[in-house]
Amino acid sequence: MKIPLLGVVALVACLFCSSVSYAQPVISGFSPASGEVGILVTIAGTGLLNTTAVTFNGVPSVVQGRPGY
Amino acid sequence: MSLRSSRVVQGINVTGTAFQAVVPVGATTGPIAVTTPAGTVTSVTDFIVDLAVVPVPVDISPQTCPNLLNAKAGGFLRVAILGTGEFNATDVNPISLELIGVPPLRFSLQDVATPLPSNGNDECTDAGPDGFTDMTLRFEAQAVIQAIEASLGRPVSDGESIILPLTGELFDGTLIAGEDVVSIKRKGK
Repeated sequence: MKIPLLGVVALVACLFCSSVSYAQPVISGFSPASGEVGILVTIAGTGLLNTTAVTFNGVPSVVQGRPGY
Repeated sequence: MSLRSSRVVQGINVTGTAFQAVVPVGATTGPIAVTTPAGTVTSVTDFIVDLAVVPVPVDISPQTCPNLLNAKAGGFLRVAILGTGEFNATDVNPISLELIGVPPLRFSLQDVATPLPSNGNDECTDAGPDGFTDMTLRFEAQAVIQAIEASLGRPVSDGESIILPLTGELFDGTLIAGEDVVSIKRKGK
């Protein structure tokens, strides 16, 4: 039986497809350190890609977008 | 997926090194937590929420002018936090309230008075219900007198006017404050 090359590539790729790994999130800091309800806070760190939730002392927040850097 | 969570995902930047989030209504001072598929991380330091104080209309002795407070008599001092088109008095957390540091004995919700017009020159009004629910409170009169005298560092005098601050919180944690004036009566009962 002849297995198409494309099928082999897909088979090998699928060995990894169910084990996508994400880097552990790290918060290195945020700015400003204080402020009123409604202001934007920039949260910096690593592994923040694919963030699914952000809370301030347990209260869910809404991410507005990327900062200017 | 809720609208909130979908907006969170949509707003994340592509590098994963920084993003911006709004300090939500109801937030209090505490850590920021970020959740990704790899787990949740919590900031080492707290984000400090500066709670703005919202001014609210306060009427001591609703429907009465002047607002007499008898320094020698017992009984209650009635105070109302007045609802308006912009302020819902039912949002006030009654157990958070203090009049010059004195907590109320009881509260109820009813329409009893109309706030002073902001552009008027009157210092007191006896205007009755205005269609907006108010929060009415009862304070022990002697406890209020004692708090005033402790604040002044001397006994109150007959005929003097004292501004009494009312402070507290809404159920969402927002600080509120208002004030009204009482006229001290020391003579008689």
